[in-house]
Amino acid sequence: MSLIDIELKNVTKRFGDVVAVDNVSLTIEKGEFFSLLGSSGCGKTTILRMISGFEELTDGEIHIGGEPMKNSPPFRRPTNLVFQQHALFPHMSVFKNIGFGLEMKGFSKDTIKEKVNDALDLIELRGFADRRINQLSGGQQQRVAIARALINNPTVLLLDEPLGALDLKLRNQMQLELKRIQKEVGTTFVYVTHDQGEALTMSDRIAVMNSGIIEQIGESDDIYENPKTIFVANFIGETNQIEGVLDSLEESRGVITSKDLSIYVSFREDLRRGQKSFVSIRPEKIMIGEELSGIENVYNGTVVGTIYQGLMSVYTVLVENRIHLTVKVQNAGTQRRYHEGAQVKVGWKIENGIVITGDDYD
Amino acid sequence: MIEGSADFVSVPISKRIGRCIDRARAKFLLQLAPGTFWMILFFIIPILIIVNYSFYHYSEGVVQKTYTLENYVRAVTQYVYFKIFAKSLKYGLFVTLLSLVAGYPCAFFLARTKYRRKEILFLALIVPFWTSIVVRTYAWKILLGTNGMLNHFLIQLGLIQTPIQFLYTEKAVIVGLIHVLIPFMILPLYASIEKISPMLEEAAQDLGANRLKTFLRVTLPLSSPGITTGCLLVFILTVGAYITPDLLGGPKEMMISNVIQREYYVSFNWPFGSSLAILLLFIILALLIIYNRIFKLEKIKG
Repeated sequence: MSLIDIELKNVTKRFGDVVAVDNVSLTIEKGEFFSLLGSSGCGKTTILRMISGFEELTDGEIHIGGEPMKNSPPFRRPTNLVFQQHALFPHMSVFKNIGFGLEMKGFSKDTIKEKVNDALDLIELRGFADRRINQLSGGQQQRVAIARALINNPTVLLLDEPLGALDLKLRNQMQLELKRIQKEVGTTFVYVTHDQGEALTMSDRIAVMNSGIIEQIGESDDIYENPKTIFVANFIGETNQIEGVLDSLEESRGVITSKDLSIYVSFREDLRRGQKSFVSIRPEKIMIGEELSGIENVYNGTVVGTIYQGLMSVYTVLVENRIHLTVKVQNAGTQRRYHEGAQVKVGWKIENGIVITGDDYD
Repeated sequence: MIEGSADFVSVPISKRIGRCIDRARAKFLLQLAPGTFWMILFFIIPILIIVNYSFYHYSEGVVQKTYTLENYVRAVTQYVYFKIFAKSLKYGLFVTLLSLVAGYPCAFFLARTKYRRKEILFLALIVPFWTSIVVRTYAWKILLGTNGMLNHFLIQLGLIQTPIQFLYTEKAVIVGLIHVLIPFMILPLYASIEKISPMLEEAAQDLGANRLKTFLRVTLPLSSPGITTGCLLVFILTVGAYITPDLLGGPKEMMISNVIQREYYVSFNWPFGSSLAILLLFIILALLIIYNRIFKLEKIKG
């Protein structure tokens, strides 16, 4: 059984009339790389700031390492925060910046020197100790910011979109770097981001947030393959949504009818007949061809748009003159390419049509 | 036209570039001209006149246009003038430090308040500039006088029986100077505190610094450009102060500017007054150079 590092119990935060975080409960395990994912203003940064102690809770409780944090100011919490714009001290050298936390805790000069040098090794910036902050590149500054936080050996390292200011290439590089550092030190990371790719790449688990509530918590593949809400299905990757009504339900499968089109879906305990439902199908899970066999959902369609993307071809297919579907096919050379106006069949396996029931959308 | 183009070709490139630079420089000098003209006419020339006067001989109420060093010898050797200079510098130090201590929280508040109508707060800071220093200093006379409001108030409260002598003391002068000069401290402080990201203070706290340590290690050092600028302004303005010591200090609390004024308009000893003025100028310049060595003023921008 794994240990729990952070526990949020019914945490609510209001700014005046605005509810930034609405009754959120979650647990984060020791050594986990946990991401809070959502668009700006969804409350993810507020949660991070409540964990670090910079915002007070309107309601609820936060425990870190089993201890309630109610009356702990930021400087007494076993957390360290990596800020979005680095927030490095411009009047101090790299060495002084990284050693700041240890200095505040009253470590001896020798210990500080030793640990800072270790930290510089970890972030591969040995020899930069005496540089001033403005003499570093963006990526180097980010690494210093991470080292400055990690050196205090926090129970939890909090990261607030730390890669947001970096360009794409550097960001990808830093993602791997962060993951490496996390594996090496084994500290629990709580990572806030609006970039789903970033979250999927690095996280053990992801909490997808939307307007102050958590829509879904799960492992990367689980969130992608089995979105529980329309928001999650749309936010993580692309999807085709078909709205309909669950018309019949048998032991093995159900049928959702949308604009006189019958779509077979897998049986699930929580489905009820007559329910308003969405079927979400990822574009890459839809097959396209002249003949499709061995799959449950097959329809006639006309290609109405094609985009060639090198790795992929993206087709827009009008199905049975009723519904537009986006289909992505890898250009592996094994399949012919279609042009606009081509008559095709499209289809998908029953388990790839994920049903999102009526309660979860409005 | 043919001639023109031939000329263009025949001129070597280096010379053509040289012409461009000449034009840029001419433009630059032209832009500089009005300011330079103004400075020469109203600053350099008057100072040179005073320098000239300071070497003239003065006897029995008459200025004689023969050159002598006796004015400087008198200013440097007579203890009374040393005392006046020392007192002026001491006031400068006191007023500067007290303005810094009183102005810092105010500037910090201005920089960090989330109050939406910040301009009103700034107005409160700047409105006093719209009134003449003389009027504002007279207001202190009404407040601090023997029969003034403060004494009246204290007697009414029964805290004292007989009025306290506030006016014409060192304290009155210092209070009056702080009142007049504190905006010169607050504004540069505000400008540099406002530039410090609150995130840096949060970062310090996150790393285990309490509020005091955060202030001492992050906020204070990062606001040092404002501190050095503010202190410099207030110090120079205090040392040269004239109206405030005149009105609130009286003859007992004269500062160097008052003595210079007396030499000019009471004793009519313009040469000696001039030598004191030049001495003051050089003392302040010397202090500036030392200050610059310590705080590296050229680093301060904006």
